[in-house]
Amino acid sequence: MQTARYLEGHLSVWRGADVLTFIDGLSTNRVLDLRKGECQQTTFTTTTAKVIDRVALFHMGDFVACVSHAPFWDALHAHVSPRILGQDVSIFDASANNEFYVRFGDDDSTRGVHSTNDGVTIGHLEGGYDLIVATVGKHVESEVNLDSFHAWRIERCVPWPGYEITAKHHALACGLSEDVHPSKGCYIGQEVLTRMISRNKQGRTLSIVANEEVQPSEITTKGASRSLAIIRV
Amino acid sequence: MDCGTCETAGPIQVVKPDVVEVSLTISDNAQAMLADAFGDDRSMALLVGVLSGGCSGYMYDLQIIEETDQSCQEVNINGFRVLVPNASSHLLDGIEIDYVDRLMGGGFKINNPNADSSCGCGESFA
Repeated sequence: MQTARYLEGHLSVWRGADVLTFIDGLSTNRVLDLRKGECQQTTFTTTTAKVIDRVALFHMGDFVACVSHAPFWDALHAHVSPRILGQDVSIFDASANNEFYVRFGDDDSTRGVHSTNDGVTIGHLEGGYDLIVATVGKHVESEVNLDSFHAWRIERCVPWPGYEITAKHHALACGLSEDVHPSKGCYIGQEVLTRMISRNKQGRTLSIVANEEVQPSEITTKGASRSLAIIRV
Repeated sequence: MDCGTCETAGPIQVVKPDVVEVSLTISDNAQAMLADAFGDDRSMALLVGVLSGGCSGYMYDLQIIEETDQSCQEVNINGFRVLVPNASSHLLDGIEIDYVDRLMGGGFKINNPNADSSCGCGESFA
């Protein structure tokens, strides 16, 4: 396993009795069943199913920690904030108190759970990598930079915020079909995604390609010989 | 992980629109259905609220209740008590509560002048 610093991580703390219901009403997959000690990823989309952000939720017992992509935070905040209305949901920004890392490589850890030891929380996410949130000042060994993680991602077709996961693409095109619950009730963007699935027409899809196979503009993460690209199929 | 909420960080500013004094109407069909539902007991109230979610971002929430913990405005229309939570009053000012009698897709409907769009089933709006 290798660890790289993820400088663009963002941590918000969501408190209140209605947090899971609130998130469930807005995101693409079912989060109501998330329990203490568990973590899962979910995606927020616009009415046209374009991605606002894909986040990792950590159920910490008395609150839910939401790790998102810092450059997308303003858009995500603007999306959720007006919708809180009378629900018991309070959101706090704890980014400045924490540092973020991704750990990747061969690993047979049980996915969907997290653990905390001495200020370092490790979430074993679906997709085969771990997201680490460490209190500032706690040492986490990071022996590689994020380029190594991107090379690992290319070989496994794992999408990442700012590369494949952007506001330009809908959730299915950028490789987030695992996040799209097939029979969940209404959420923002659901009608568009469900129509694409039922008609088997999603336009573009995330693929591993040889660099010379596609136009450079279609490449989302460039590797030495192979890349990730969102291409029409 | 440092949750940062014990001593340092304050809550993130959330958008809290101004509370609006709500006016609303209830169609004759809807009043007839409410009369059936309430019977002679007019101590009950129709709560018309909004929740986050649905295809368009907001979902109507209709309940017949005796009382609620929510901070609400009460509107009395022909003896029917209608409660509107202050938190969603800006989304509900000027609505008409209607009742559509048909086998599929029937039931109470909200005609909302504040909605830019609605989803197909009519339960959700933006």
